[in-house]
Amino acid sequence: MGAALGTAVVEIENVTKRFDDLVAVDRISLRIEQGQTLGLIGPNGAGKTTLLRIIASLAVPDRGDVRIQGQSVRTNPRAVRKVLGFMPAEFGSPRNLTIGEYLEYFGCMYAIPRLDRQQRIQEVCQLTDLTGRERIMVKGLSTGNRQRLLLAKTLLHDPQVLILDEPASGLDPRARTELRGIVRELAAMGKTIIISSHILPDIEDISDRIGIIEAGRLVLDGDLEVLRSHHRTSSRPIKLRVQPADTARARVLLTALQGVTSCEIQEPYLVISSDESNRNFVLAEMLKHDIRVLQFQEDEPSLEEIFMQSTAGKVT
Amino acid sequence: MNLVHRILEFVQDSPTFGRDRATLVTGVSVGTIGLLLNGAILMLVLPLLLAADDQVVRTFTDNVEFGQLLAMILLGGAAAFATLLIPLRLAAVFWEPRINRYFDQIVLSGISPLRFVIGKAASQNLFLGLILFLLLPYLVICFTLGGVNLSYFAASLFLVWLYCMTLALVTLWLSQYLNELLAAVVVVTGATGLSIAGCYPMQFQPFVVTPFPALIHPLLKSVPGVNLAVSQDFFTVFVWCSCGMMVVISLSLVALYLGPLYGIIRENSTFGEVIRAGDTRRKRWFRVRLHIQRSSEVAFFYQNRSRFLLRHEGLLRWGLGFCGLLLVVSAGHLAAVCTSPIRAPGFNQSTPPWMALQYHASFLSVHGLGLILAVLLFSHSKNTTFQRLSFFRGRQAQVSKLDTIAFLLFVVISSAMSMAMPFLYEQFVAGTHGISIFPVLDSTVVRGRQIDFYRIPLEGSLVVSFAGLVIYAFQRRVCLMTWIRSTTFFAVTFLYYIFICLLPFIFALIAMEMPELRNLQMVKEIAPTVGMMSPIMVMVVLFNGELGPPFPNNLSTAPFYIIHTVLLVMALLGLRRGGHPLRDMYLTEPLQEAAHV
Repeated sequence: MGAALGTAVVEIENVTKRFDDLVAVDRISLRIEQGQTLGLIGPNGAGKTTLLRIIASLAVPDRGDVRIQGQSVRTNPRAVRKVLGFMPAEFGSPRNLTIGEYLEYFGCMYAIPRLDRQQRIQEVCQLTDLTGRERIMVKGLSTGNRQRLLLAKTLLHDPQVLILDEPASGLDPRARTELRGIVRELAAMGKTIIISSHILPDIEDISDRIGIIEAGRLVLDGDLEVLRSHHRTSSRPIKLRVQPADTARARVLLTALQGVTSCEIQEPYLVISSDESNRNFVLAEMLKHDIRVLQFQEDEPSLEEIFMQSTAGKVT
Repeated sequence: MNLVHRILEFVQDSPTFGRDRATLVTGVSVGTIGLLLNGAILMLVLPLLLAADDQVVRTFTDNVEFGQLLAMILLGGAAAFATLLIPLRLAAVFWEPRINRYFDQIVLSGISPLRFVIGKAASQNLFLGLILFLLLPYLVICFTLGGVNLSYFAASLFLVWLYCMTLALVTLWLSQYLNELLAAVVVVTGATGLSIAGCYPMQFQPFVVTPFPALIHPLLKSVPGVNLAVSQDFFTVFVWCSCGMMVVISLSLVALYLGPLYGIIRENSTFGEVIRAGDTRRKRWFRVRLHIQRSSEVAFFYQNRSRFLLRHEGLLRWGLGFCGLLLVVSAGHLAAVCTSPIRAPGFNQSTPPWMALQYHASFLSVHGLGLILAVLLFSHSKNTTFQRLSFFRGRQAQVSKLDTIAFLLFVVISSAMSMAMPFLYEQFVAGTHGISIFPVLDSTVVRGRQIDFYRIPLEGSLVVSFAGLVIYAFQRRVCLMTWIRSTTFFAVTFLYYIFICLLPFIFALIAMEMPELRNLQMVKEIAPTVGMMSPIMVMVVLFNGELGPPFPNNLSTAPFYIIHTVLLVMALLGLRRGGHPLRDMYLTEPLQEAAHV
C-alpha cells in the first residue's frame, strides 16, 4: 500500500525518548513526504541514532509516536517493519558466508518466496554494484563493499522507506561518491529516505531536506534552499570577475560606491562586501561604466556553515 | 498433502535451515565428524577386542549375536555422539546474532521466533543423516556378520532420530532462558545422566525420554540373571520411549511457539540495552542473561509472533499452564491409585493401619507437589509482573492478576481433589476389595494413640494448601525485587523449609525428647506450641504415628494457622508496599502502549 505522492509517509509526532535522566530525543516532530530524502545531521551524541531506531521500531518512544505509511511503530511494529528498510551504522553478519549466502539468508528471513528470491538478489546486487561478487566471502570485504552489501540487504524486501544510519562512515572518497550515486538512484525510484551522516558535503549533495539535531532537539529543519536563504546575510561577500584589464578600474569605482564596505582583489575575482541585501546596484554600476562582467556570484552559505551557525556543540 | 507441503516449506524457508545445511555439508565438517565418530566407535568396540575373554564381555557375546551387538553399539554410539554434539551445534542460535550484532536485522525482518529456530532443529536431521552415512561401512559389516534383528534395528533408528529431535528442541527451548552455552551444558549433562540411568535394568523404566532403555533392551533381556530385572518386552519399551520423547518434543514445540514472557523494561542506552552497575563484569564472567536484555530481543520474542498468539497470549500461556498442571496432578493421583497394592495378586485383606496412612500420604504428597509447581509457574519476576498482555481477543490483562487468579483457582481445585480422592478411592476401589482406608477407630491404634482417618484428608489438605498459599505470597513478594523467578523460588522454599518447617519441629523434638530440657517447665509448655507452627509437626500429629509419649495428647493445630496467617498478612502487606513503586516504574505510558496489540 503505497502512499500517494505529496502525502506524508513518515510522521514523527512529538517524540521523546529518555535513558534514565538523559533526554536522548526531545519532542521532535517531522513529516516526510513520499520520495523525499531527509538528511539528519548533528554532533556525536545528539540523538540521531536513537531517533532512527525509534523510526525503525527498534526502540519505543517515551512520548509521542511515529507513523510509517499510517502505521504506528508503537501499536503495529510488524506492519511498519514490512515497509521499512533500516541500514544500521554497524555491520553485523553471520560468520563464514559469501555475499550470495548472506543475501539468501536474509531473503529467507524476509520470507521472500523461493521462486522470486534469486531474482530479487540479482536485482539488489545490480543496484548496489555487487553483481558477479556473490561468491566472495563477507568477512574479507572492504568497508565500501560491506556498506554496499548492507544496503543490498536493506533493499531485499523492496521497502518504500529507507533509513540509513551513517552509511558513508569509514568510506574512501571513491566509495562515498559511488554510495551517493546509489542513494540518488534510490531517490529517483521514489523511495523515501532518511539518512544520517557526519559527512556534510554528502548530505548536502543527496538530500533535498535537512534536519539538524542537537542535544536531542531538532534545531533546524527544512529544504536546503530555504535553509540557505535563512542563513544568507547581507554581509556575505560577492565575487565579481571582469576583464583583467578592467580590474583596477572596477575596484576604484566599487570602493567609492555607496553601500560597498570593502572591495579586495583576489585573483581573478574582486571580492566585494556590502551592507545592502540587494546587490544589483553593483552590476548596474559596472554596466554604467561599460565594464564587461564575466562572472557575478553571490557566495552561498554551505551546509557546514549552516550547521556551525545552528549548533552550539551541545551533546546529550 | 497440502499441510505436509506447507510444513516442509515452513521448515525449509527458515533461514537457519539453509545456513546450517550450507555449513554442515562441507569437507571440513564431514571430515571432522567422520574422524570423531570413528574415534567414538573405536572406543566402544575396543572392550570387545581387547577383553574378549573377560567374563562380562563373554556373557554378552555368548548370548547376543555379534552382528546384533555391533548394531547396538553403533546405534548407541550414534546416540551418544548426538548427545554431545547436537546441543553444542545449537548453542549459537541466538548467541551468534547477539555477539555478531545482527539481532536488530533479524527483528526488522519480522520473522517469528519459531520460524527462525525451526530450521535449526530440522537441520539436525541432516546431522543425523551425516552420522548414519559415515556409519554405513560399519552397518554393512553388522549385516554381513548376521544376527541383526531388522525390526529392532528400524525401531532403534527411529528412536535415535526422535532423540536427536528431542535434544535439539530442548536445547532451543532452554536457549530462550539461559545463555546458549549454559543451555547446551545443561542438556548434555541431563541427557547423559538420563541415558546412563536408562541403561540400568529395572522393571518399570522411568528414563524413557532417551532411547537407551530400548537400545539396551535386547542385551539385558538375553543375559541370564539380568533378564529377570527387566519385565517389559521390547515393543512396550519402544512405545514408552517413543511416547516419552514425543511428549518432550511437543512440550518444547509449545514452549518455542509461546516464547518467554519477556518483560519490557526501560533500556538506558542508545542500542537498547539495560545497563546497570557491574553488568559488564557479570556479562564478561557469566554471559548469563539476567536482566541485561536488548530491546530488539524483547521485540523478537514479544512482537514478532503470530497475530493469534499476540491476541490470545494470556489464555494460551496461563490456560495451557493451568491445564497442564491439573493434568500432572490428576496423573499423580491416578498413579497413586493404579500402583495400589490392593490390585496386586495375593493381596491380604487385613490392611495394617500404616498402609491406609500410606494412601493418605500419597494423595497429600501429590497435592503438595502440585502446589509447589504452581508457585513456580504462576509467579513472575519484577520485569514482567505488572506487564499487561492480551488475554483473549485482544482484551488486556495484567500478569500479576492472571498469576493470582490461576494460583488460587488451582489451590481450590487441587485441595478439593486431595480431599475427595481418598473418599472416592474408598468408595470405588478399596470398598470393592472389602477393605477401607478409613478403618474403624477401635482397630486403628498406633503407639497407643487413636487416628482420626477422616481428619487426615480434610485437615491435611487444608494445611498443605495454607502452607502453599504462604509460600506463594512470599514468592510473589520476593519476585518484586528479583529478576529470576526460579532462583527466587528456590530461595523462598528453602527459607520456608528451614525456618518454618524444620526449626520449630527440631526445637520441639529436642525439647521434648531431651530429659534436661523436658524438665524445664517453660520449655515443656512452649515446645509443643512452637513445634505445631511447623507443617511437618502438624502432619506428624495428624498421622499420629511418630510422636512418642512426651508429647501431650490432642495437640492443637492452632499455632500453625496463627503463624501462617501472620506470615500471609505480612507477605500481602509487603506485596502491596513493594508493588507500588514497581508499578510506577514500569507501568508508564510507553509500556502500556507497547503491550497493546
